[in-house]
Amino acid sequence: MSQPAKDQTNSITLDDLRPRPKEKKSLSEHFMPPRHSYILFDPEKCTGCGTCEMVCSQRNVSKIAPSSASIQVIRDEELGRNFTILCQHCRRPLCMEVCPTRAIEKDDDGVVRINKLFCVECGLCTMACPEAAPLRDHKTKGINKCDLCNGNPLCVKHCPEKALTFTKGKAFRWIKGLRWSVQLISFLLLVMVFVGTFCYFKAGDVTLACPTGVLQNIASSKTIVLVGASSALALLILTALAGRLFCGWVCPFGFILDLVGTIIPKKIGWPSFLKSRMTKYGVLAGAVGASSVLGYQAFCTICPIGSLCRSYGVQGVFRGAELAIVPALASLEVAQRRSWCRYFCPVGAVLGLMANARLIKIVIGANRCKKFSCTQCAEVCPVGIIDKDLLREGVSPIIPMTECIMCMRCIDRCPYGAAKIRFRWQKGVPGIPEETTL
Amino acid sequence: MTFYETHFTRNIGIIDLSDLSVQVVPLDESIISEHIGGAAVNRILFDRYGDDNPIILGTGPLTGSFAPASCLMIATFRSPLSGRISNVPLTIRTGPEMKCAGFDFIIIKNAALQTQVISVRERTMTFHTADSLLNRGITEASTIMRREIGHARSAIITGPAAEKNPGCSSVSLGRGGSFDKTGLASIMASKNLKGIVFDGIDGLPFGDGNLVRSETMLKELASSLRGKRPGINRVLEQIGADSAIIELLSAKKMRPMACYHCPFPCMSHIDVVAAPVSERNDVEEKRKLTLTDHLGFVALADKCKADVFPVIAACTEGGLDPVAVSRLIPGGGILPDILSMVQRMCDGTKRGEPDKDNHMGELVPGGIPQEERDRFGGGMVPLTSGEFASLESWKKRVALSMILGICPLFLLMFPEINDSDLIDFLALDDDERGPLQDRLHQAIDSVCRF
Repeated sequence: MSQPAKDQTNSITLDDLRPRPKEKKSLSEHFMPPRHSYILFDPEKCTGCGTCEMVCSQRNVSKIAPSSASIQVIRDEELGRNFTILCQHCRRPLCMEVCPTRAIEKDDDGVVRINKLFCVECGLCTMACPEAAPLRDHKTKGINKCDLCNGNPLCVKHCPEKALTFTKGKAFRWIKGLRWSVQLISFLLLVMVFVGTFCYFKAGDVTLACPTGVLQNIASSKTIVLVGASSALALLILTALAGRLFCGWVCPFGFILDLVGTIIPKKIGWPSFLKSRMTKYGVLAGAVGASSVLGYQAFCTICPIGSLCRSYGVQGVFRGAELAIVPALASLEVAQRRSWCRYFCPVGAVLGLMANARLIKIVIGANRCKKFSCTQCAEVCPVGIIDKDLLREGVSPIIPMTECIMCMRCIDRCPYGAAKIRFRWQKGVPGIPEETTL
Repeated sequence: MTFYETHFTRNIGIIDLSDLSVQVVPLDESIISEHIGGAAVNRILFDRYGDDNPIILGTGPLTGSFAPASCLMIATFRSPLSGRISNVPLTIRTGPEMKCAGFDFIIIKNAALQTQVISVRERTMTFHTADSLLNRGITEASTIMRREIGHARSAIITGPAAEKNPGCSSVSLGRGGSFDKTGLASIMASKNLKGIVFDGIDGLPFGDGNLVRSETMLKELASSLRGKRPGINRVLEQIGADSAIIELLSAKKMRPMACYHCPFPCMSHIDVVAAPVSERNDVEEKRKLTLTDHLGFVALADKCKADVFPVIAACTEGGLDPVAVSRLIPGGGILPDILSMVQRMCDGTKRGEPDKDNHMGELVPGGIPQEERDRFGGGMVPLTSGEFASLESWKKRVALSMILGICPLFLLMFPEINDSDLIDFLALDDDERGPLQDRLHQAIDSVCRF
């Protein structure tokens, strides 16, 4: 059978008619992402009056026809509360990815719109959307989706109980700004100014030392010197008060990891057999054991934090062969964010043990959050301790404070006020003050 | 365009349950011109089909519109309990959904041979045999109906009490009961009608101007709205219910609930411990109770005190009128005995009688005479003070609401809204307003008389 002749005609494809928007972000978009407009729904305030459906349908079809609105109120008498189905104008809209005709576009203003010229009303967007927000108009059979009324949403304007709020998102995340600033200053001070002082610092009677180093010192010297032991107290007291705040805000190696993680956003993932948070306790035990056998602080020689803190020379350059450990371990960031902190860091292990005595905790109230399509807290958590599936089920996840590095990205990112810091004795979560789900 | 064209679908649905036939006829413009709508037109239709013992479900011109609290449907029928013609206001979303389903009025004649549920959608009315729903509690029946008939945005359902104890029964709109105290559930049961579900996908071109009017009106009411706490407490305070009864609510976590486009949420969701009603009902130890029946709550709270919540939950689940139940509760009764009595009332082993002695009038100051209670469905609250504290003004206000299709409770709570404010929503020319106002007053008088 002869081979068919090659098609020489230049056929026009969907990519020509409806090119996909660029995926790569510019540097400025990467570090200063554009503000993300959406409508917040407060289930505590909604009375189910349906005014939002009325005004929306009036705009859509010039009639009061609640079933033709781009917002739907679900009145659940069994739960005694109301929910809305409403487009969240996601940062990565799934509806856009599945649309076979690329009729869904995310414009420069961040609003996700359906271009009716190209929409074939297949309904794949509704199936893909975790909110099922593109709504089938049962009268016209078309798809209606919220477009934020060009920046002045009618539903927000007319809601009598102010259960709907229009927000353009945070222009400036102050916790993020503060944290980066503190991390940078800590890096400069610990690495470049007070060189080597993280590992051991003495000024008069004041002695400060890394707690992991102190443990190795005790193991290698086989003596407990109270002054030496107490030198680790500063960091341990900080941890007892504020959890592993050191890891999230002060650790110079953590700063490097965050920088690398920001520059290389795509992750290839860890094999599941390596994903054990107990490994770092094993590393700690190994470090102490090796110190005991070898007679010197074995791990300190390869500790990335120590290496970084000791390597800045008087000529203003980083030097020393031991410094090679820093990029080697930082490269773990391509697998998963803060991999070192999650699985291997013995300093983090010590602080994690101390964090059992912490004064504060982070709580996330699933009742408050828009669980289906948000879960931003889980996405931004660098140590991956927020259970997205529990959030989607409406269950407030327990945050393991021994693993939490207190970076507070979840609090900063949450638009619903569902993530908060509480004292450890406080019961309840945002949205359910009387009950405890912990 | 006249309000007949913009505020009505111009369809009347006629259902004959004896042969399960349906008919859609046009709504005569002359009826609307003369009688406006709502209860006034219901009465005309009732007279026309009176030989068939009809239930007339009707809406007003403002039902479903941008007028605040435009939720109303009125059910007009001859009460099997009192023999008088009764107009029961049905709120939440029933009226707008019926309009969006394509009908302004539905006439249900005669009785079916087998238990039926009527589904009203897209200008059609279909029948579904509902033998499997007999003796089911409201929650169970709703779930089965949703599964077998499909999701409906609004429903009128009867409980097991309608079949077994008609003198004490009440329809339920969803799971929260209703203002029915004059036998709508009873007449539905006599027709073998378990429920009516509405699912509207259409709409009406009420006009952008009405949205602006609505906004303006709500701004004017803002100070009054701010002064009243949300939820059922608001209403209880206005009707002068005993402070001890209001105190019962203050200890509960409540979430206010409102009807269609209503800025005044007068209902509440409350957590209660509920009891099973029928032997086939799943036992739920804790569930949300939707409190919609203010007078019923007062009547039961007077007898049961702190135990009122599980008792009213059991009443609404069984489709019982809480006022009728309260009359049978002995003084000092304990909760298990009361719940057992409620269970027996649902089973029919304990019979109750309608409130012919106007027991309700003793509980709430400024009580309404029995005849007027029957005329307006039995569930509308009297007011102790203000513009509508007198019987005559109260009657006219409720009649106005029932003609135009606005929730009567909303109009009673906000006397600053006058009839010309509401006529504005009909978007008439200036020279039409005067004659319409006259006809409206005539319609009010006729509703108050029949």
